[in-house]
Amino acid sequence: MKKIFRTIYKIKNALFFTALGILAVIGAMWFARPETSVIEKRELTKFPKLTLSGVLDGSFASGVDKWYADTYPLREQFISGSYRLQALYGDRSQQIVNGGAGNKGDDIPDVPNKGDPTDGPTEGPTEGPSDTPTQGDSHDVTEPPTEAPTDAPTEAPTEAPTDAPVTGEIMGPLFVSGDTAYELYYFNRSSAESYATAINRAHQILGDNVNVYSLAIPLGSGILLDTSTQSSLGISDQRKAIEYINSLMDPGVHALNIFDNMKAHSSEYIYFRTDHHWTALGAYYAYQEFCKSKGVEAHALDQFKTMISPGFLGSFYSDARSSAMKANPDTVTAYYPMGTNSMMFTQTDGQVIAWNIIMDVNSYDPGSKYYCFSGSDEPYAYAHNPQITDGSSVVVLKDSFGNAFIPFLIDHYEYIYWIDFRMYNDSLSAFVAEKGIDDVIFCFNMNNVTNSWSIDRINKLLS
Amino acid sequence: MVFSSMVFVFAFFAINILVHSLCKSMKAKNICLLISSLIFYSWAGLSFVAIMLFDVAVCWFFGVLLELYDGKARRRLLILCLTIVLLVLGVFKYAGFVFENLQHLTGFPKVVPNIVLPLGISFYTFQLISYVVDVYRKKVPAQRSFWMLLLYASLFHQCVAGPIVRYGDVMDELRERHTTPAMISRGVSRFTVGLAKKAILANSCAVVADAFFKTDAAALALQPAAGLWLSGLAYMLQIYLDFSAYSDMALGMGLMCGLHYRENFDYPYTSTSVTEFWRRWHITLSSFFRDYVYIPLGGNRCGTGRQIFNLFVVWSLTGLWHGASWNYVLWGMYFFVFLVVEKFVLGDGLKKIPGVIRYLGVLLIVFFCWVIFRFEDLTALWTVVKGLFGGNGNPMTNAVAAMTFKSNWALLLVSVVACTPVCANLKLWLKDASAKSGAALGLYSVIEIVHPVLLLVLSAVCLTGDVYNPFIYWIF
Repeated sequence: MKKIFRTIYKIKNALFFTALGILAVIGAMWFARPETSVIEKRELTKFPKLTLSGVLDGSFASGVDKWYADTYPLREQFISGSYRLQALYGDRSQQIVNGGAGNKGDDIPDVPNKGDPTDGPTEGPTEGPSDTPTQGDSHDVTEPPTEAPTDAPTEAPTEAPTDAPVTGEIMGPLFVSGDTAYELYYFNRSSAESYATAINRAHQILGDNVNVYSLAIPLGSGILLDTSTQSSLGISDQRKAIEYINSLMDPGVHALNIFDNMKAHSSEYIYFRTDHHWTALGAYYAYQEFCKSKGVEAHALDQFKTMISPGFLGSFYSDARSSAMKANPDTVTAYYPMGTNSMMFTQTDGQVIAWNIIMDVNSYDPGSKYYCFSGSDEPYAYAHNPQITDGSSVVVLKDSFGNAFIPFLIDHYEYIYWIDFRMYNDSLSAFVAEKGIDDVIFCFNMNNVTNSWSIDRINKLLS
Repeated sequence: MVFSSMVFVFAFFAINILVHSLCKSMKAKNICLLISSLIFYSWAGLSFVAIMLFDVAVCWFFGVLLELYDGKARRRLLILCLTIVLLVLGVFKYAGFVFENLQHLTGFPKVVPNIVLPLGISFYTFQLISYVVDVYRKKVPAQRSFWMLLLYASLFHQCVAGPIVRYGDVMDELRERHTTPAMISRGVSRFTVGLAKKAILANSCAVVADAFFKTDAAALALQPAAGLWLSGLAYMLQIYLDFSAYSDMALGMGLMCGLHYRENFDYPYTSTSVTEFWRRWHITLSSFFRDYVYIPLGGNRCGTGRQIFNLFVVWSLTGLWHGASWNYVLWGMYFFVFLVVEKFVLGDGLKKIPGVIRYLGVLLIVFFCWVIFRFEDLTALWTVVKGLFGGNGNPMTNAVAAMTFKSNWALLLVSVVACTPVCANLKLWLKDASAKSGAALGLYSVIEIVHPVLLLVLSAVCLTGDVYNPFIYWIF
């Protein structure tokens, strides 16, 4: 018997050291180490720089630890395996991911019933202003494209942007239920008030000739989850939050409240299930509210041609890696603007790229399909609609939710600019003055509206 | 470098064990272990190595001197040596705490110096103390070679988070050691079981523990009682699985190299008294305090009053050893009270209480000990204690607590089983049955051969992309 056990131990030891050796050799294959994660939409940890201070204080070594674990050649397979293992931990058809369970937002003060300041177009111009000085020349393209962009929606370029954003959205904890996730929202009163102050400041700085719009976009959890579920999850009431923020804004600011219109369409496909963004249909209902406020007629949906791309697995999937989501991915539908599909954007490295406002993303990988809208997240972008010749112009200060909204604006302005507040570093007021902008739209999701980092960025752009 | 990091397992340890096995002579093996240990230790910062080298040099020097002197001079040398190493420990571990309290009381100093705690200083200091005291007691001969003493103190298997190895335990094996397939096999099992306990179970329990055990008091005050109990249970499981995993891996690596270290845990959550719990939990620390503090103070031989005083000293030191913070002192006093009650109030009456009640009672006492242990901020601690009994005005439970339980019940169940000897006993039973049954032998062979590879791969799966998961006891 001892002999048998001895043989068993020998086989066991040999097998273990072989497995250890194989995994060690795989780990040593530096050339096979991935540099980016498509699913997580981020650059992976880089090998740290060797410095004397880093060696002395241990930061070099901890950098190596992070690099080794984060870029292990089999990382995607292993991480996917890890989520499969976690699926065995219990009934995960409903769960909270990304931590943060049991947080609580600040109390939202009641708003005195003084009428909705966003109702009606009475305060805004009835048409795009035509008396803006120096409009004509100011819209000349300062960064000419190297190639004329094509209007044909299905033509090149077809590849995903090379500098896929690494910043991402500020995403809180998620409530995952079956194949759908919802981002939990916790109101922060101080940041909300700072946001309103920043918008009021923008209005004061830009003057009465410029229409300032504030579009706070509710997260899907506020629209899609019923009140009792929201209450049991302890999340803040986004309708009340938007009402409170809007109540703090100067009367001259067009403080839009899209909540009710979104809620009225909550049974439709207005938010992705596997991604934290709204769909283009959701953005369309916000566009309807914007048009009401601006006093123009919204185009009907059936006037637009569409780009449809199934198989989208977005940020929620990347965080929760739910098998139910994977089995039932989202479909991205985008509506081509009628006036033009051509745009230009400037990357963070200053390179100017000709692009399509709506990009056919059918060849993109499953996690990148939201990139179909407006060139995705780039510091600065613009489009010229040749079908409109009144010199009207708009600049949208936006996060990635704005990307799905911008295409609907194309058919209402001659010049459309959009700035990603997370990456643009110049002065907004200088830009507005230089281009002779008519309308400025602050277009952020509720996480950015009530987040101190975001407010600091907005204030920086206003300074 | 953490044991449960990819770079440790698949780069550092893989290379170390390969080179160690290729070394023919014992000297070469020891050089391999010493160089590996110094690289391992300097990973946390090269500057920390200097402090360890200083402590080792002091203890090596005084160890040699102790053999040359007798009588009072010998005692003075011991006191001087202990003063120096304890002063180093005191400065790096407790100076910030002392200044912080001084500032609170007197306003001096204006700025509390920020002293970084050198990795593992509490562990290797105690190992060196045990060496010097044992040399003084003539239980072990002084080590003439500085490098061999450095190897003993810095051995990467245990230098950072234990077990606290006595010099006498490994003295002979550092000179001459052998391995057998059975010994390596046991080492492989201990190592992979430890790795899996940490990478799969402890890290996952940590997520449940963190779900309701928020860091600040304001957030804690909002948590429902059920959530706090759930997080408390998960933390209780996490801390055992985490700490015992480290010891398992240390013992396993030792066995693979031919070194036998003392067991550090013996299923403490199966104890039926607090005294028994401390015979099963962090055994090398409690036995250190027993042999080097409690017994030298007189132990239980000098009357009840003195014994209670001795226990008070030991438990104050045990608390402070864990960290320079009042919650650890409170934690030590918490056990002091229960041990005194068990010993002097309940006495033999304890045995008359039904086993199940004693068992549940100990679990409850241990549950609250980890709550105290978790929160350095005393306001947060009080908030949690109140919250556990619904004293913060929240509902007793909510949907998030229910969901967190439902989505983790199997994990918690497996973790509970992992805290008991069930698996080890089943394996032993199967091994015994193998002699009589071919089926049992087949099953035993498959389990024995497959489990290390399976656990290694599953651990790698859980650790990939996980950039930081330190052991709880790393900070001590």
